Amino acid sequence: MKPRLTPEQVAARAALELKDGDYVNLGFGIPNLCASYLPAGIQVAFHAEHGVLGYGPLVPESEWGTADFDYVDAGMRFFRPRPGMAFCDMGQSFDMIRGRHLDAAILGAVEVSGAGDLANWTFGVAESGGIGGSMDLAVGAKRVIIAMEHVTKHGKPKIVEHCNYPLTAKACVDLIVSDLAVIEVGPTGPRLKEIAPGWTPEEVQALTEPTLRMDGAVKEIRW
Amino acid sequence: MKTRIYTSFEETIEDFPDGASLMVFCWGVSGTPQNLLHALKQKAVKDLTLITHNVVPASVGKSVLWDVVTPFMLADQVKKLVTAWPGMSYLGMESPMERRIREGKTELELVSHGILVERIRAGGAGIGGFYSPAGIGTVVERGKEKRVLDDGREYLLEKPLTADFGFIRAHRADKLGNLVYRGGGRGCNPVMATACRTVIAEVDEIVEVGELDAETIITPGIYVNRLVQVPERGLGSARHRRELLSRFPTQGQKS
Repeated sequence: MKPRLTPEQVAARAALELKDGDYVNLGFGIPNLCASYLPAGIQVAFHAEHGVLGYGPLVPESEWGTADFDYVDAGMRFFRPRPGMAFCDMGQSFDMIRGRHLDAAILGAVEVSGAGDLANWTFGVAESGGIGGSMDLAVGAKRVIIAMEHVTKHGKPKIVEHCNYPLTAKACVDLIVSDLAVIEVGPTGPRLKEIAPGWTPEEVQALTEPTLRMDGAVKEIRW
Repeated sequence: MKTRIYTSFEETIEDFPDGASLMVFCWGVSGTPQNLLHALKQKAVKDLTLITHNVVPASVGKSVLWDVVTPFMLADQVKKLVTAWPGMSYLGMESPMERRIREGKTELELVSHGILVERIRAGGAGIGGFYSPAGIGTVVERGKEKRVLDDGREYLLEKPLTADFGFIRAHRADKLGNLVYRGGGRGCNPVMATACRTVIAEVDEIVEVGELDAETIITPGIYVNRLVQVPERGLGSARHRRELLSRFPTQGQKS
């Protein structure tokens, strides 16, 4: 088995998409790791759905005893306050999302189609899993970046012609960063931009349902 | 109407009937009116319509805090649930609420967080409905009017939400019911406080009129009907929070 990017490396590559001063929402899983792998010299403000903007670093588990329950993020993890942090009510928090004020949302996915349709809130029927804020983020953030593994646990492509799982939103994803590739998606279909070290475009294509365009040079992923 | 101050949580909900609707916010320990929820559980009110963001137990990271009272504990009492997060499948288990939904005992109306809060705001603000882009092409568009608006995008018509009772958790109140919140505990509390016929707030401290800075009041007392102060040893009190935190390591220790 050829090496793939680790979740931390995927997060680090996805974080390269962020710019100094961006306001960003991170989803559960690999996206959450992006906070720890920001490119040197940039500051971004993280947004939590219940109404926190610009919170500080997460409290390591070894210090939870010194944390504060009113300072938790959307994933119920303690954070430290940071100068410039702001609280608002949840209505305003979602105004920021729907009103296109967030520069980026980095989210996980169950499936993404070549046209950028996203399925990321349930693995099965509508009665399991939670929509949470995903539908709002998917239609509202200026850029939607997906950070995920390229295939399922069973080796099936997660980048598909048409999503089989319940949709979060149609045509909302701009970029996929997987453990094998960086792929732009949208109305003109998926375009392969970067591949993991040691992998060929043909090998990545074999694990991807829709045909990948390869116009322009395909570079090696750096993070 | 004048805000009434109570000393007992049981008394504040004495007139809460079976079949009533309830709005309540919960973000783990934060922003959750644990004492009011506990009183409602004790009263064994039946056939609730529960409007809440998440139906999960309180947790920190992967540690579940089973002794924190959240809407999760009301599962048996709920006939209809309006939520963005009905269960715990993300932890790989079926919650009591999810079981009831599967067995048809609780009807589920699944919404996104953003639409839920905006529907509540509309309910509190006298807005008859609004068009939102979230949910187009998904399961939540079922039964809703869809239309293309002037910007060429598709939107869904969303209807306002109100409730009979709103349980609110705030940090401090004055005797007129003006409320201030703390940190992420603000959450949906200020929005829910506008959309319920009877609004009951539990707070860490009730102070005299004039002691709160008028510039910092988030929920004006006009919305708040009943107030009750969390006792020193009450659920969610500073003391209770310290006890919960004492289970975790401080600087550098391993749990």
